Amino acid sequence: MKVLKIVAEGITTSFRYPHFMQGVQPTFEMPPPATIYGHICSALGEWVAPEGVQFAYHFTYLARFDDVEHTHVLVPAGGKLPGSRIPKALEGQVNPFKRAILFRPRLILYLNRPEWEPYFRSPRYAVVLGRSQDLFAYTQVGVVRLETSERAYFEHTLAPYRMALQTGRGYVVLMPRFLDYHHGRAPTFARYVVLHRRVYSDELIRFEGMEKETFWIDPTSPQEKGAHLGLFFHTFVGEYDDRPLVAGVAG
Amino acid sequence: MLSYTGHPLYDVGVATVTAFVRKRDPVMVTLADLAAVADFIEREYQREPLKSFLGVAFTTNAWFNQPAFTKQPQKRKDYARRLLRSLSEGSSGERCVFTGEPATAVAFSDKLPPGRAFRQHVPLLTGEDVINFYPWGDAGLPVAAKAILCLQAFPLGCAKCGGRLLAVHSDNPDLIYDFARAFLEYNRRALDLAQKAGHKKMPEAKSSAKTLLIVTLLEIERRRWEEAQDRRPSSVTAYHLTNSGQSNPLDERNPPLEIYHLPLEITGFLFSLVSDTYRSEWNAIAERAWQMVLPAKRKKKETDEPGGDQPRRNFLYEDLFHLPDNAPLFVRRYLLRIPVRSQREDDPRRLYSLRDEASLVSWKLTELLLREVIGVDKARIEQIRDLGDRLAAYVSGENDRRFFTAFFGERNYDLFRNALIKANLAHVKRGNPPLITLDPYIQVFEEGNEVARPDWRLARDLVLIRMIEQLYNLGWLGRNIDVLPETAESTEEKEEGF
Repeated sequence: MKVLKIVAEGITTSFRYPHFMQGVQPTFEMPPPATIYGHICSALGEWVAPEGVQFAYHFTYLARFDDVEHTHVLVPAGGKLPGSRIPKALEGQVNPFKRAILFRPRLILYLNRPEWEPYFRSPRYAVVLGRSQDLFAYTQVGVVRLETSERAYFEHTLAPYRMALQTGRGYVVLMPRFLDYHHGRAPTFARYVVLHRRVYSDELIRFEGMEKETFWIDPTSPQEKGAHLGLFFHTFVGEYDDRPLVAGVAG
Repeated sequence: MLSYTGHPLYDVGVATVTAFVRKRDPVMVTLADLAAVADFIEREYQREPLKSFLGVAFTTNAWFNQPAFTKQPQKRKDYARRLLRSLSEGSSGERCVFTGEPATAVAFSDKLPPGRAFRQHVPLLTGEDVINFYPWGDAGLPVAAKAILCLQAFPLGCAKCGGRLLAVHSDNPDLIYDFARAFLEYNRRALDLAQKAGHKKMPEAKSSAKTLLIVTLLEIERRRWEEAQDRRPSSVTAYHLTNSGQSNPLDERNPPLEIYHLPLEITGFLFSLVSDTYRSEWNAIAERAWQMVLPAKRKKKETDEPGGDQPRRNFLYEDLFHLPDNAPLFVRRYLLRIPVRSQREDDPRRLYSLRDEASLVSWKLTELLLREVIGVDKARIEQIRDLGDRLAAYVSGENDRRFFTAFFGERNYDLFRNALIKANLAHVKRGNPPLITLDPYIQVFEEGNEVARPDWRLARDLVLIRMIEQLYNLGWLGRNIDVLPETAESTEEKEEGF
């Protein structure tokens, strides 16, 4: 399979949990799929149809720390701006927030859309990942041909939730999968496994009745113990298998 | 009727409601059950001790806590109805962000749009009207009637810990349920006792949040083990939070939210530990990791609250949250019993002693840690164990105290290597086969020819654990106890992972 491979690097990023708003804003340790979708659309300059788009990634950061932000907490307001006839639309006050930040993030993004290479070579909007001030830079953009292999290693990535029992590592997290910008940014969520530490395909737990799997690998990635980086591809919309495998039985 | 969605606060609420009506499966919860939960909430949230405590979950603007309602009980009743009993009131036309079902058409106060929840209804949202962090600045989260009821029940399924709520979530519904049920039962007992005694406060949990999480998880896993239930590995995430308007988000001692992850490798490790194979060894180590109560503090606690002298932190449990990154220190502290003198007075690890506690050194636990948590492959574990066996047999057979001392304490890799080579040569000169052959040695200690692995000290500690266990069993250690150093080593040095 030919895919677009993009390497993007920045100084900071933060992926806010959507429903924790007050006082402290922790970060997901991996970019949620909805963030990846927004990033793609920013490069292309339009809301692309999410159907059929698949992505995989490898995401690392050097350190994690808390920063103190002053957030302008805004509410609607009436009346005029002081000393003028200009109507006041908003008012608010400055509140300190503690935000978890990932330092020196690096994303290797794989997209099943090699034809989008020109857009990532000349992105339409400023390249950011996370908040609007989290500027990024594309340090590599190119097309690679992925291969299939029974041997692979997986690390610093999101695995589909159904893999949780097979990886035996990582933790499960609910993430925004897609925000529908045509319908008021209505969110859909899905569960994933955050997988930091390396796991080789031959360490994956196999249940009775499971057939031997092959995985997409990036042959240009570093080789470790005879294996290349394996890729879990995700989608933004459509079917998502959210059932863990237990002893060969889905349930 | 109800189902888990993956959202932590909502799921804990669902589990709490289910446990409250003494059912196991949320699907089995009926409308009558929901009415029973609503009755309890409406009655108890309005009075102490829950009234003041639940300010940490819903702020003092919540329907039951609003000072302005003290003289307007009818208004409070009306708001309670909107939040707790609006299941048949139709839809606002929006979708609930927690369940995906239609949001309720009922407004939670006269000032609010229908079905929209704010900080006084769901912890850690913004206050009314605040437009930040909402799509198009349209304030509030749309929620379904049953979702808002479950979210109101949510604090009952949490532990009160350090003035905050400890909510435990997992991808395994059984674990969400077991935690919520354990905390709910504790809370209902505490509520009953507090009301009978005329206390206005709910008692605090006796342990810190991380310790309580592990203690409760071990109890749950032990029960599941004994009941021989089907068990699948699951990760656990705890949310330690307060929604109180009084809390300062910059207060390091009491932040509004902390998230603790227990990944699959740690929960798998803990599940194995409660089995008969490991339980006694693990308990022996865990018992010696409880925070000590100093005499002065004990006196103060005894006057403050009965039973207040119970230890609050278990350092072993709390260090589990730093695995596998801190595996080298974990191994030295808890499995090799190397003391850490620089710790606080109430830290039992200051008093660890290999001389006194050689019987606690367990290869079995070490092997489990290597396999489950650090992910060391079977062949390498066997190499480490075999090397430990051979070196223990050599030290015991030749009574080579000098070699043991060098192997134990040498900090310089070249000198450590020389000590091994010398022992090997001496062993061969006596007509024995080589003590250590090249390949296993290189695989355990080196990454290239004469280039030490970054984690060679960890490898040495692992071999030592096996050696000490064997030498203890052979009786050699008892006869040569003075070879074990009593002085603490600096264990704070950073070592690479395994």
